[in-house]
Amino acid sequence: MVTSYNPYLTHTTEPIAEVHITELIDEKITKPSQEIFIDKGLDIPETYDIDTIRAMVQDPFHIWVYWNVRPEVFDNLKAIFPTTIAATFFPVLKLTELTYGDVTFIKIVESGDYWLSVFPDRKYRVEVGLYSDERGYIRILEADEVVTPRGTISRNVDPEPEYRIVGKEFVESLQASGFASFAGVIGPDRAMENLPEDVSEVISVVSAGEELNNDQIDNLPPKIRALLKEMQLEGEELTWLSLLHLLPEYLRETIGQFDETFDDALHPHHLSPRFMVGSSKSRPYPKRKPWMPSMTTGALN
Amino acid sequence: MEQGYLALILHAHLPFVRHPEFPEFLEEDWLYEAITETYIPLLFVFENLLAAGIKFRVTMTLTPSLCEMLADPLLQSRYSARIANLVKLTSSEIVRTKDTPFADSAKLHHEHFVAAQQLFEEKYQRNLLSGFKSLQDAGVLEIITCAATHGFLPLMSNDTVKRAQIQIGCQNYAKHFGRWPKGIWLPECAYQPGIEKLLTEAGLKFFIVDSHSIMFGDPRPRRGIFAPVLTPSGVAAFARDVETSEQVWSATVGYPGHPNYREFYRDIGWDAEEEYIKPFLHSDGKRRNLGIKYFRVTGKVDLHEKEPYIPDLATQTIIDHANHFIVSRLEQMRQLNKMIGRKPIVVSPYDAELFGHWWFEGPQFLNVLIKKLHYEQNEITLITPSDYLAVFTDNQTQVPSASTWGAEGYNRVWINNSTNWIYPHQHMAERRMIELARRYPNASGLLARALNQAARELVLAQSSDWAFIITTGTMVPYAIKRFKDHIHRFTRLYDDIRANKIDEGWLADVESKDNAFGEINYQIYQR
Repeated sequence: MVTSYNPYLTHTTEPIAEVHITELIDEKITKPSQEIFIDKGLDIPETYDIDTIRAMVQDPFHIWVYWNVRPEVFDNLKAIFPTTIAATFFPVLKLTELTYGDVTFIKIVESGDYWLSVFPDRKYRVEVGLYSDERGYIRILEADEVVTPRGTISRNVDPEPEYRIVGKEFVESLQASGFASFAGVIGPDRAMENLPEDVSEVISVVSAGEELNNDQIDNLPPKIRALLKEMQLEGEELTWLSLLHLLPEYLRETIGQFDETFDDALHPHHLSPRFMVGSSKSRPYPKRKPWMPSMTTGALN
Repeated sequence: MEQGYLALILHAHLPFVRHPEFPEFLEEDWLYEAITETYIPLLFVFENLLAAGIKFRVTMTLTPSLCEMLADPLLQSRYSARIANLVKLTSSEIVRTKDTPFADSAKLHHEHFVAAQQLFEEKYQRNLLSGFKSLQDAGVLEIITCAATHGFLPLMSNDTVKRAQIQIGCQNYAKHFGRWPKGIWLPECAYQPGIEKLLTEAGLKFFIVDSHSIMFGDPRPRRGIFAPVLTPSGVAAFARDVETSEQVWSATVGYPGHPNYREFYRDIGWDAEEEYIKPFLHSDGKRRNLGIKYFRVTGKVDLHEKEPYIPDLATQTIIDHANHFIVSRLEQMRQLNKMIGRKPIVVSPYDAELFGHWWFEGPQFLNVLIKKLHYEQNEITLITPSDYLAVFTDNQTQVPSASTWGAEGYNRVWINNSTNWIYPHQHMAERRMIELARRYPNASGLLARALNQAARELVLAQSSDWAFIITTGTMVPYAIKRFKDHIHRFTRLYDDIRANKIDEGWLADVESKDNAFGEINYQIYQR
């Protein structure tokens, strides 16, 4: 009876047909003799044939964007220009940081997605368009603007005297609120001391507004170096922007090895604390058995 | 002299899982286990405290998807059969474990299951919501609501669909509890600036956020996380206290990990002889947890080295932990009282299923804790957020920072490389739902049924549980199936409605399967 068949509870046990020895070897490598039936759900569309773009915040340092532009939209736009000019246009993702106006272009295809490294507490606009070195940029689609989480304490003190809190008093409040690492805030000098030398050197150079040379890039950790090398091929400006976008994350990782925060009295910058206790969503339960979904946790780090 | 307030908040939630197309279904067990191990024990504890004349206040979320399951006749009848089966098994266990170190545990489990069965069948007439409602009406519980299907609001595409999740949740609450909710548990404590306007629109007075939401809010919070802030729209935000969370949740110092407590991972569903246990498993005969566990945590030893569970030892440990919890709160509140210049509120939210299901002794811990708070001290008062707002009407205005209670405090658990494929489909369904609602503003008959079912499929697809399960890597195929099934059904409804070719037979079949929120009205998507 169909009604008694539960795909989650049943294994298929179809006999294996006789096969030639060479096929059998192949069969052993590529297919189990007894496959577990897994209901992967009903079919859903692969694409929707509309033009769309959306940007979504993951955390203070990352935005995920996906887009789809029908090819004819690009073609129709290019058709406005003479063939030789049209050939110079290519699709790009444009990321604009709206506070300071920093702009990054990323070469893309008509449909896809991308993780953007960004700064905390900034507003961003993401667009898809066509770019030509000769004719500039033409916007096609624009996502709703997104704001990244602050990821740190606010610099603003309440103007109402009753709610005003500053300095040591606020540090005590942070301590009492469980932000233990804020108690031993470390100054920027100590942070620099604890960074690998090649990284602190790069920070000093960038802070001074100077350009990095190849040696300095070569001495960076592999993860950042590889990306910078790749970006270098596409132009100096992109390399710079890329570095600026990558540094906060790398700093967070590096500083997190000895403390989760660093600070200076005038411009506190607290790195995102890792809230690893207190929530079912982060509690490291043993992973032996399936658990209630509202309580299941795993390697979320 | 009163030093401060403690707000215990138990967040009870399970995704809507109901499969009438199969005679039994693995994931439905989540509900049945939670009924036996958490919801009935909590009702039992609260009812007895009330009957003893003990004054207390506890806040509970009962999410709309959970309420819909608890009120569903099919799931009620399936639970009835399951608990009867467990009572039968524990009867056999009393015989089987006679004169062994497990005899007391077997008796304990049998009594527990018999009590659960009697309460479920006789006292609550199979509908536990009536028990929770009575406790709220008696002034013991404050039940708050949640978004309809625990949808992760910050990752939805627009305010219309966020508003719909919130409004459907509130309407469902009114259906089950006969009043409008005062507070809401934001799914996953996921807040982003702007959501508060939708909460105010819905007539809600408060919501819960994680600690960093207020500590990183703008401007700086004068009273830290020990007083709520008023968001610009006027709805209050209460923040989770880190210290009390750690005492219960921490893997290293948390109470549930004490050696005397019952070990979750030694279950006779796995330990007993196969032929003996087989009649009590699903028809596939696969071993799984049955909720009968005869060992204690013991310490950091392998599962096969666990020692027998001794109920009396666990009871003494519960008392010790309740004392420790109170002493810690007294110290905390005395210090805070001086620091913030007002009686602090310590907000302690937990997943309700922690108590009983994961931490077997959890409901008894609450029982002892509440009794001790009532009889043995006068410095800490149990309170609910709305009680607090009635006492303290002046609170700092602040825009909390975007946050969740997930790992790292933001959205990574729900949007990452394993889950991001979900969102283009979800956002398209959201866009199409709005389009349908505006295109057919006053539908009736079959068309209205199809539009309402489309709304149901959308909210079921939006559940935060699917992305969460995928990220955590447990039961992933089921989460993928559920998301895809709802998007498939929504898409077919959209196409059929647009083509004016609604298949009534197919629609009736889908209505019978995804039958949550009978009261849903697609017109909510017109705003």
